Amino acid sequence: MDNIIEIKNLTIQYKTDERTVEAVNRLNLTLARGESLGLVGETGAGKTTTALGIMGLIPNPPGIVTEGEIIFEGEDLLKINKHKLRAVRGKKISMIFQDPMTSLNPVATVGDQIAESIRIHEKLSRADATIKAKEMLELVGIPGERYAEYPHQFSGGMKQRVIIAIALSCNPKLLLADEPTTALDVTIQAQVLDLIAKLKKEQNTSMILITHDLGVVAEVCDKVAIMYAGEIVEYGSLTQIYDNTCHPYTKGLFGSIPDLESKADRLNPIPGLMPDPANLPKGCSFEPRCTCSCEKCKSNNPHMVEVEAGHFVKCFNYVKGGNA
Amino acid sequence: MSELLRVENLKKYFKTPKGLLHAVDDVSFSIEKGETLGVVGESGCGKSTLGRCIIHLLEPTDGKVFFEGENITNISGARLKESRKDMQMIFQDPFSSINPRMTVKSIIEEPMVIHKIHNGDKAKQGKAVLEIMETVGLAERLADSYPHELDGGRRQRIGIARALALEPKFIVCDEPVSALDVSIQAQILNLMQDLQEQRGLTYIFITHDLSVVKHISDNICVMYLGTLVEKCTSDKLFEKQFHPYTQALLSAIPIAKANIKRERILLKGEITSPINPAPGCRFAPRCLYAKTECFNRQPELKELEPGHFVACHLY
Repeated sequence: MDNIIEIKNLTIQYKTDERTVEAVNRLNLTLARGESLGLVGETGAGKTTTALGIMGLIPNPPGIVTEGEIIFEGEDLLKINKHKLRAVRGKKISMIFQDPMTSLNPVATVGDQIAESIRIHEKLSRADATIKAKEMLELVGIPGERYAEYPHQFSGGMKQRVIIAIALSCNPKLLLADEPTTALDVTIQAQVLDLIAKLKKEQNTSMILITHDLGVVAEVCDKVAIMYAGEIVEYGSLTQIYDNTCHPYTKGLFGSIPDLESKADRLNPIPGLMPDPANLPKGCSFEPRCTCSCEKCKSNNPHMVEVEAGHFVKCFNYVKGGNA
Repeated sequence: MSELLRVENLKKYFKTPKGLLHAVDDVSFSIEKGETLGVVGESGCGKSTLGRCIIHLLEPTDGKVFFEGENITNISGARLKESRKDMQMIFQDPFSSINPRMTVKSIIEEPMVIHKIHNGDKAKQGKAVLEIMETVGLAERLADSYPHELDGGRRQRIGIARALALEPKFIVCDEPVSALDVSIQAQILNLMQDLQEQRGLTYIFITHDLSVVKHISDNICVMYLGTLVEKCTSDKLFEKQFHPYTQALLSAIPIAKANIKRERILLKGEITSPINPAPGCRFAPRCLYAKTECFNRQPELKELEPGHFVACHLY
């Protein structure tokens, strides 16, 4: 299949005088055109750092991409110069940021903020950009008359729509959505997810959806990658991950969500805490919390194993069957 | 079982320059000893205000709160302080609800000192703190740590330990797990259930997360813009919902299962302003089935099935 983006061995570290935080470790990921991938993990798993890495927005210092390649349309984004990257960023790859409350400029009108990215990337006159920005507003379900209003006049859900409008204004090939609905209420979340799915279909955009919510992923994505301590521990199609869960961490995640349909008395949480990314265990990073670890896991970091076609697991003792 | 807490026609209005903000409007319910009442609703529906009014962090505008048969709505001074021993609160944000300059031990100890539980017997007090820390799963070595040294899950355990320090009968839990990661959230929920079983605690569990509320509650109240729209047992609510808002709310929850295709009820628009609300049903402007009547008269809670109360003109 035709891949829109290939990430190979991406390693990102935050280096300070005292310590080195290994945020992303040898991450491999490919995404086919038109597909949406759910990147799932808990706080500190390195999801956002991965997305910022793709956008070339890692704050440096302290962040450094120490290794790896990000191949987008045949070019390595880590090697091309700043000017070329600027032409890609916002035009071909764009990002929806997590917090709709803080990612808009409070002293510029929402319309101007949408028109800004259109004017940068497409050679349109100010008047034409205004017209296009109004169209974008209408597209995300906001009346065009509100063009000249400021972000504080909008609710959280509306602000997130404005951010989606900015991200989609130049018809990007790849959309990185970083927790686009986490700050929103469920009924508004449903509206926004619906909107993203509709627009994605119309414009045939590929998407990487970053979230910690396995429910949201089930609604929107075709492929799922589970991240833990800067690594992908399980990767596969939606059905493979949800119905044939293999990695103990993924199982733990599913065990932690209260099920709406069955009445379980107690949840099965994962014991312990995420390891300190400045001091990762020598072997498998999940070993200290794992219920089926062995001696081998303590000293060796497992490689990805293909358990069925297109379903990869990074574990020595992967368990077969969905509910073992 | 006997009734522990009863709330009657509770109202809380805030004065704003634009008019009266109806945060909680005419809410009534009661809680039995040892049960958990879940209060669900979206942001701005008045669920936190309700919790705060019950335990006297806010003065209600109107209405009555009874605790163990006694009207505690207007108590003050020594009696109010006394009542704090029975009622405690766990706050939403474990990052801002704990004093950063106090050690874990002194945070948990403070309520005991204020209420002179151990009459100045330092040794006994110290022992009590360590016991509570053990109950909530905080290691003894953390006693002299400061909150910034700990992660969110441990901080929330401090919040729980502090609420337990006075051995209350009743705890208002205001979104205690919303700020936590799922795997940590499950740990804290299990802890809260264990504590309830061991100590016979009664909880009001305020949250916006429906799957959490289903898991932990016996009864559920659904709130919309300050009003109670539906109330019944947890199992029943998820089987059958009457109120159009509850139906939409439940259908909006993303379910973590592959290949489930559900009919989703998409609500139009957003929550309207709670300042000087229009007469009639608060949900009417977004409701799919709204009739003229809905815009004129506010519906009352009706018992449609035994124990299942709904405020809607459709029924």
